[in-house]
Amino acid sequence: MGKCEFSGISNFASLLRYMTDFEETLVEVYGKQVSGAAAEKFAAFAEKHKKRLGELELARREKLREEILEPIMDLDSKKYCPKLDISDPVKQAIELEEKAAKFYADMTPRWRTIQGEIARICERLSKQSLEFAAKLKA
Amino acid sequence: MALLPEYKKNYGKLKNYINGEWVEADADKYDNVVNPATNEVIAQVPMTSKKQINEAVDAANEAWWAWRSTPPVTRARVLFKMKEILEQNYETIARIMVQEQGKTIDEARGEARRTIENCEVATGVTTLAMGYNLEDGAAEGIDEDAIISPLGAFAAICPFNFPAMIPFWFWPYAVATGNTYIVKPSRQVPITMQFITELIDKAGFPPGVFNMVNGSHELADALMAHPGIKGISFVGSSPIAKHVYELSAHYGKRVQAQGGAKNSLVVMEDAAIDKTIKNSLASFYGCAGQRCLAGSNLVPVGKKAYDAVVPQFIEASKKIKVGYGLNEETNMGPVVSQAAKKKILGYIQKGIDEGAKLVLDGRNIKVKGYENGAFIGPTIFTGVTPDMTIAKEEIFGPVVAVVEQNSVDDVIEMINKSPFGNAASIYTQNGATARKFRYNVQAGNIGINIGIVAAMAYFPFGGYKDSFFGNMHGQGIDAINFFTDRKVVITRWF
Repeated sequence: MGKCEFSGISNFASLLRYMTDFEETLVEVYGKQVSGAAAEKFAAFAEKHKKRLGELELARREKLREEILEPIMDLDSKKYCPKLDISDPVKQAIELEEKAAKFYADMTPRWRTIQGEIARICERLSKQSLEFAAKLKA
Repeated sequence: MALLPEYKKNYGKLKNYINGEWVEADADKYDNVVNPATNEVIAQVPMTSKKQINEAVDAANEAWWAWRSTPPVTRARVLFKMKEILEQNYETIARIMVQEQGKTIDEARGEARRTIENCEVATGVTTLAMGYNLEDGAAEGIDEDAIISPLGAFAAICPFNFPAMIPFWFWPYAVATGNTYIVKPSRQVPITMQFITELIDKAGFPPGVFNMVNGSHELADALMAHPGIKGISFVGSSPIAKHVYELSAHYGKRVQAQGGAKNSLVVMEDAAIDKTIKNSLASFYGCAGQRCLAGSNLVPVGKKAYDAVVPQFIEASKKIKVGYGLNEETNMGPVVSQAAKKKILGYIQKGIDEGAKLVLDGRNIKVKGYENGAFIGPTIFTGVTPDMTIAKEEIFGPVVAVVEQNSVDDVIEMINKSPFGNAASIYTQNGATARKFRYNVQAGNIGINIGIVAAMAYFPFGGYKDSFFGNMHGQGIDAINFFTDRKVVITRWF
């Protein structure tokens, strides 16, 4: 299943890595050749995801504090793992956006207790991913 | 999950940085620098001669007058540049720290952030080091000013547990206020400062303002005795901190010497247990217990608190993932060296010999792929009494002593009896209990529902009793005060 086949999320770094892997994979998928109406959407969404990736990398640099480096022992990351073997790039992108939306939505309350700003980022990215998936389906 | 790549596999023979130049060390002997996770040699660090330390001190003193005459805003500008370069190299700094020190990448990134924050705070020198005055302060027509002035060349002798951050508790404030500086990194973890010094070289400090010299305790003693050094900053164990304080004071220097710790994390029966456990795990096992702010004694107050916290804490400790810190999933890395491991194992044996109950034994942990690493798994003793060695002495490893107490008064008494006074934390939802604790406990850093009481760059990092020798701490305004004196000028114009 490629990149998202993580063995687990156990701390701040691996949780953030899970997020950046979603974004990197989406940038990669949106970089694929597609024809018709999807081409324009792919180009636009690729840019959006590059920006999101930058935002998450900045969050990792700026928000990490020793006080919140607590082990994470109760998160089953496998249930968010997207299928990465879908040959149609549009369907692959939809799969990724929907899984990302779910992951970010579920992570929002978790982050809220330790890092409010990352919770707000998650909330926004989740809504945005749902929106992108809907546009790709349209 | 794949391992993050190491910056380099081997860093070769390290050099010294004197008067703005990289120089081959004048050294008869080189020590190996070892990656504690793999037990592989990753660099050689020189044990520099006393002769070469004289060159560094001379360079720092020669650079001083021009640098102290440089306007503070210009000095701050170099530190702004420094901050920018550190940001660009943030991840590399973090990964080097993991490689040579053993901490996890999360911990190393956190340290890199705190390193940069000290640089940021020091850029505020134009306001932080501003003097004050009073018109007609002495008499009618006679004004009085207090000018904050730099003193000359200072030096830092640094420990192994925070290879980047601890030098930055001191030197940015020293140079911001117009002093010059020599850093002696720990011989166990010198690569991080070697790399950071390469960045300092690019920031635009004039030659001699910042110098870096590698070496042993003999070099440290030479710095303390050197008449060209105005003051010494030190972080390490309490016996050495005391030695540094005494020797430096003997030679008429300013000293700030941070020592060891034995930190208690107290849990009251009204604590938010789930959050307490998560937070305290980070305190006990973060940096493999090699923080001077690490929790060491877990102190439940009363049976209800014990029953609520101890079994869950033990179960959670079993789930801590031990491994190489460059794997982002790792919760705890190795201790710094095989020698440190041996010492910690000795303490565990002592705990057994003195009758404590070893309920989680981390001695024989095997980390796949890193069989030669200096790993110790989470280790917990119950039934520990305050007079046992493991309850009293600094272990500096992932070993938890559960020491039951009956009341908060007993806890305060136990903590205050300790010769250490670095940090203490209480987990409670009761404000009055928390207030009593913070008011009465004799420690420099108090946590209320926080297990790692690490002062931010704009607050002083201190300690009480044998945990700190001196009166002005690192970081923030305390650092500004340490590196400057007050010159009073009384003026009358006829």
